[in-house]
Amino acid sequence: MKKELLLEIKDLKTYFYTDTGIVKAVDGINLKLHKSEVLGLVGESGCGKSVASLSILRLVDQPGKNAGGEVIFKGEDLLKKSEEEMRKIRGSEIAMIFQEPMTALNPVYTIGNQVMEAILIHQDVNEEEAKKKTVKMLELVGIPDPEKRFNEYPHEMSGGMRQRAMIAMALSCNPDLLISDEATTALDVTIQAQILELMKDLQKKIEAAILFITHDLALVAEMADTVAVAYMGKIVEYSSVKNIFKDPRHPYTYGLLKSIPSLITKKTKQPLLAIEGMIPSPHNMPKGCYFHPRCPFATDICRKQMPELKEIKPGHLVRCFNPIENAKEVSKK
Amino acid sequence: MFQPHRKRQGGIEKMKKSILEVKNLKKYFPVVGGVFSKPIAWVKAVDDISFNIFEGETFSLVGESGSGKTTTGKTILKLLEPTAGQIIAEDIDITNYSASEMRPLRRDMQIIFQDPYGSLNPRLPVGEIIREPLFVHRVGNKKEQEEKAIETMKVVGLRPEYLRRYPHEFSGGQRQRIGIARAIVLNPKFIVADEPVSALDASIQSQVLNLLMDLQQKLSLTYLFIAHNLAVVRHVSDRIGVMYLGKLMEIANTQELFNNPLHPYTQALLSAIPIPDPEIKKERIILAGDIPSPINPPSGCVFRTRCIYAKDICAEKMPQLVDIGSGHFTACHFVKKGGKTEFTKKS
Repeated sequence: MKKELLLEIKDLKTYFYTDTGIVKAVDGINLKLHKSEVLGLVGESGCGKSVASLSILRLVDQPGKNAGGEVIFKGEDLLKKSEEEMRKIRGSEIAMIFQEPMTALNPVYTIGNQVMEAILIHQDVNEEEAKKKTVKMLELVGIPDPEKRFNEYPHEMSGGMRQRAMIAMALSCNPDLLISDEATTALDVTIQAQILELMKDLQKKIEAAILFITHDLALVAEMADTVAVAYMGKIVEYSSVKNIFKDPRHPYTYGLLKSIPSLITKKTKQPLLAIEGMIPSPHNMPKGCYFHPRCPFATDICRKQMPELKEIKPGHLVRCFNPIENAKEVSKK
Repeated sequence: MFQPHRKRQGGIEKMKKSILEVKNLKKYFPVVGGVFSKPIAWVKAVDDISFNIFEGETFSLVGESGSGKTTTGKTILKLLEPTAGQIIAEDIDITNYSASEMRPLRRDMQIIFQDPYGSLNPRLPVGEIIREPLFVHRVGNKKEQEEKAIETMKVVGLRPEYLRRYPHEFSGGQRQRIGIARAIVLNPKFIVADEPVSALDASIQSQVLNLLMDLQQKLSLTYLFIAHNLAVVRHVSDRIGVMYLGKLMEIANTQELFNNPLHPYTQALLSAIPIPDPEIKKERIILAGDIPSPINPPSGCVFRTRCIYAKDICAEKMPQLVDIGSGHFTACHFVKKGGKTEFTKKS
């Protein structure tokens, strides 16, 4: 099943020019996202996943700057567009859901007004129609009593309801691409389940592609079709969700998977496999592969040279000189 | 001066000795209003809960935000004054102890906080932070205290050379190690670990969990582990209590709780956990709505507004937490002795 390519990120670089040196937050990322596909982008804090998503929409603030690459959306490079053209794309063709619905929503406008604003800006409708559409959107995302909620302010709503309102806003203009940046991280697990269910459901309805950014591998397993694992501004592994979980090849992906306590294993109260050490300082990056100081399989070449992201089997890309051959064998050791 | 780390036997017999008993504990916070700032309402953060913690075990409290788990932990240590109920620590009723009466007992009862940024004094070097409990409790002279601080740093995996560094020079995981070092430096028996890993990244989280489990073995510690991440809780706990809106809904040993959850809330909570395996598609119980306000909780069973099995009786009577067999406690009208359930869906 070949799907139409919607977004292609080629060697995207976003650097922060700080007083203490250049921080390469996004350091040459390549990603492909097809129509109505869900791509999970996972990584720990500081791996550049949020900056990558902001770079797509060109929302990175000073001292951050694009330092090269292309973001090809529907055949056109977003990085070459004027600010005017970008404004038309943001919110209509590409929409975003943020982590903290309290700070992402404007506290002095009602929920209804904020959802309606997006519709009025991007669609050729009058206020009455826009209001009708807003109420319909609020209903669609499962906000009870939408006509009354239309006039409520963000502080009058719970976290889950606010996140629903954000989703309503993001989807109000039928985007082709939805970027979800840790959309459920601030929510409790039962509310998270509600929101994920809603996102899956709506994704099927409006056939949008989702770039699903999270630190939680379990969420990726639930939501994504393909997965990209990021470490220190680079993609270290990219494959289908099944491959990533069943046959991880990069030692970082493998360590990450093994370090989360599982609900299935019988071996509770046992030491978890931990990745030694911690992420390097962005001001003082190690030579060669960024992961080598923490990697149990590192060899001399890893300390000298950054490996390329190579296809080791169809559709499975790994940035490693010594990829794990057989995950089962390794776990025995 | 310093005793070697206390060794306690972890056999079955010893396990059953209760190190802490909580009886009908309540903690209400006033909501003040009006000109004279009088209480106009009460937030029932913890509302009539009872449980035991046995020596050498890890007892976990799980629940969503606002369920009262942190308040419970703080009230047990008397960092908050209980509104009603009893706290019995090793046969001593400490409910009405004053701060000065509590002080000698605090040697045995310590806490690890969630936020490794907010809970360390930014103006003290790490060595001083870890030494401070020894200083407060007048254990040894300064030199001995410093030696003990260095020894403790080694135990938690911090390099002793970092003694003179300040908290801001450390990463989140290392700061949490500092917090742990401060908690164990007095050789306590009992530690409340309040969300000790929730602020940490996955790869660091497992390091800290391993350290906590390792220390429990070495120092024969008893933990009250407070967390919202059920996978973490399952990994470290012996027994688990599930809280919802200030009440305990279910208590059981870890395996029993995960294999045979009986309370409808526990069932929904467990089914909501995402599983890191794309091939497992499980049936989800999606709860409708949000947690009600603890200022004005629902009558009867506090969970009934979201429960798919709720009946008339649930609005009238709060079900008691009863032992339905072999230490499995549940507070639901429709869970009977022996774990038989009589759930029927609302029509």
